[in-house]
Amino acid sequence: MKFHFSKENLKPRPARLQRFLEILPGASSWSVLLGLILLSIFLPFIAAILIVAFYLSWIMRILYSTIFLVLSYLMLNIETNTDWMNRIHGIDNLTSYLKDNSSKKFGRHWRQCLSHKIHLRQLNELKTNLLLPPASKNIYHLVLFPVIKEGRDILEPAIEAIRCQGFPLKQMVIVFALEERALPPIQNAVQELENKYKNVFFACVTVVHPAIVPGEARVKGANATCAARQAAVFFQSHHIPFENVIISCFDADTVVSTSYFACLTYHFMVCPHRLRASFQPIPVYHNNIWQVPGFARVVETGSSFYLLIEATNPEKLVTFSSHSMSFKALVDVDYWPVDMISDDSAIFWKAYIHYDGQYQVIPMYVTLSMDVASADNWWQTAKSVYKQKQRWAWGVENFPIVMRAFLESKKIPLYEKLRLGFKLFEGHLSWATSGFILSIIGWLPVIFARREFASSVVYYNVPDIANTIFALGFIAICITIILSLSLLPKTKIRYRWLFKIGHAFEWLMVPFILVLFSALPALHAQTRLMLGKYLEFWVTDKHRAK
Amino acid sequence: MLYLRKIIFYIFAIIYLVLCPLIVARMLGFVINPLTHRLVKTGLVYVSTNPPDATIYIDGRVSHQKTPTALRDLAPGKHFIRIEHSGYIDWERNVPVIGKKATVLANVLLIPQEWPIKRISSQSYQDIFIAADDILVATNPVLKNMDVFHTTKGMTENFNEVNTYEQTPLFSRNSVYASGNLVHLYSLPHSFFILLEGIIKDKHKFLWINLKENPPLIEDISDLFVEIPTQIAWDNSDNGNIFAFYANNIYRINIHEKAIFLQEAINLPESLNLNPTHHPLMKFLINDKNDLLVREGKWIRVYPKDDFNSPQVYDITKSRPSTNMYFEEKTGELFYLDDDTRSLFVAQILPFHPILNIPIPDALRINVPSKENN
Repeated sequence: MKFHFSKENLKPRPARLQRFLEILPGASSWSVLLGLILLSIFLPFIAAILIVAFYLSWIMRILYSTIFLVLSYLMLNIETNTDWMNRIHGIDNLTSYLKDNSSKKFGRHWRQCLSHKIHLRQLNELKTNLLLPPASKNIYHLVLFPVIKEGRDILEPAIEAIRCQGFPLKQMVIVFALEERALPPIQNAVQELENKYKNVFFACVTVVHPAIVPGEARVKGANATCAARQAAVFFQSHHIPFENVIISCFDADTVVSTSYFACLTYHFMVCPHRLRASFQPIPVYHNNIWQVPGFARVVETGSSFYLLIEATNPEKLVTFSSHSMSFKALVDVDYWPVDMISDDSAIFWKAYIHYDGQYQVIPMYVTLSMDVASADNWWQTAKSVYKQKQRWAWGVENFPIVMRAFLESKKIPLYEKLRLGFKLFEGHLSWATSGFILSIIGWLPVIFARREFASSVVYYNVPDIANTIFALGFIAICITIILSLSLLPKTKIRYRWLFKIGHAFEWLMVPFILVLFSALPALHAQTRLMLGKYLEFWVTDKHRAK
Repeated sequence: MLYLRKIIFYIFAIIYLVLCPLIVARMLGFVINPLTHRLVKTGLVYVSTNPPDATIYIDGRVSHQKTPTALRDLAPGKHFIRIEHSGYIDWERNVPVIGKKATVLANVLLIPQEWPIKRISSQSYQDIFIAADDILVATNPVLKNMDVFHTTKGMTENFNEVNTYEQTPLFSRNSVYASGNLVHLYSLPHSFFILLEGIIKDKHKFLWINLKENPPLIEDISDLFVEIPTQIAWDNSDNGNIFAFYANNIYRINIHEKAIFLQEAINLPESLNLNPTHHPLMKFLINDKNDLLVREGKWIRVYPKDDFNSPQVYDITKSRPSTNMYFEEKTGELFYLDDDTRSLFVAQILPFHPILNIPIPDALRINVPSKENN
């Protein structure tokens, strides 16, 4: 479907619809919060019933999510030692490989058995669909690093991690998407890196994005689009079909695990509809995790866990942060939006709408590590984390555009529109309100209790029920702490176990974090969108100890 | 994984749809009667006691929870509640319960079988006055026998331990004022200052005393009074000025500058306390304003809150009539002068730092369903 995926240059009627849909999420969140506050004051019985119903739904959601967090974590563990390159070479000779493997027993350990079972299922699916992939030797990786203020200390570890890949480096192209307005030291650093790595990979080039381009906002998507267009020319000049290219658009601080590109190639190959798919790894924020304040550690571990949970539901998975996709799809949808901040999720929606719903996100149980937002001191770090979360929550800008597209589209099934539309709306609504209801508003009926309510059994039962529900929530927190500790990177510091115990206790900050670094920035973002005060792109501060 | 996720989702959705109405009904006071298998309305009784951790018996059966607690799932009607605590008289009442309503027995004061009382000074006094915070001034016709007590300093939770109450003589034995006699003491609640009028070596003296200092700082300001005033007043927020009222004029006396100024009555500070002398303090609302502590004649008595038309009164001890008493809310102690010896005594009326787990809103102060409702 041809669709104008932007809020700019709309005709009057779509522009009015766009504005209404921009107002809707913020207005809904404020209505929920203010409505509950007013109900707590004037109709506390109703408020208490709604709040208990919410608490119950929240605990069910938490327990439900915890189950999938554990399963997802197990999946991550299962695939830790998988030899992806061996599997890739196997797919090149699918028939004989499948024959060999069907009868072969893979190890005694349950992890190996399960991994092998999943692998066999994927091979059979591939064979049944007859949509065979190109030979692995013809598959190229385009890795894009948008750069504006990231220095060599941030970029070089990212490139080094790619150099350590098992996948042939001569099938990889590195592109530094450098902003023209970047300071000279940054430009020099990029130039140095290009010189250092140009002979390591198939190519390593820098594409400078002009500072002012008509129709573009100062967003990462514009920079990445400019670089991707140049890369398209490069591949055409080398007669490499776009169908054989996988593009990974990484934040500059992204350090991939050693098997990332092999794993990505494997998933690309076994996916029957690989040209209409994005591939989402699990981002973890381990690069500087021991150098940031405790609250920032908890916030980012929570973000990783959110994606681990989402990974178990590909039907509703939307791309987030650093991820990969078919280059052909990227070219087909005319690259990233050049006027949106949330380019990572917007590109999924753009592709989904372009292909009339025939686009999916494939979860990959492989990690890539990034930096936790941090600054020179505690307060600056808190501000930095807050701004980063606000930028993530600005993903709500997708809602009006996606809804407009759903209203126009006749090919996307109604059920899919309702399912995804509800998820998008409810996700942002719950993001902006849950923290406030759980931590503050839930107690208001008791605090504002007047005679009638205070002399009812409800007044005494609500805290009791809430305490029982929160005690159940503590089970989920305990599981989260255990998984968090086992996911943390090994450090070279002394008394590592002491740091780990400290990290376990940091999870007690969850009620404050829920409000300050989740609900508040989300409500802030929605309010700005509601009032038409559009967010400008703000580059997250990232610092690492030398 | 996708199918597993769907199956678990539907299981959780069904659990929620079943649990949610049940929990809401439970919250509203509905429970399933195990005999009839029908939903019945229930009420609850919330009991908090002072001191806490008392055992509750409801209709003869012991509750597994100690006070403060809420006794739930009670059938509407009257229930006999007995509260027991070691060393205290049993509290017993027939308490009405109404469906979906809470009957609140907030801060029930448990009466000790024997009131803890101890003497804290061998000196006899004329009266006691409370100044700021915990500073208590015990007066005597002879100035050298006047003392200052800090009623909370050095206190411990155990009343029977030796507590010093930090006693300091107002005038040291060597002080030039020590041999003088007291005529009048002007004090102001919450003020660190007192003004003492006395006869010292046959001269009428006015002493401005700062009790915040230890030992108290005494300043002779007699020269600033043109004659004996009919009234003296000062403002708590302004420690530099006092106002002396005469038959025809009002003077503002600036203590720091040692100067006097004619003051127009119309310009007097609004917050000026025109009657700084204490009337004898004889009654206090104690225990979160639930109960009345009062002196009637010589007897100090407590009247616990009466919600059930069965008024009770408990005698505590005898004290000197027409003298002040002082109830220290922080420690629950009552300071008074003994009737026979005029010595300073202290009685533990409430436990040290009463503990409540649920704040009781003002709306619930008197909150027992009326008979009509019942």
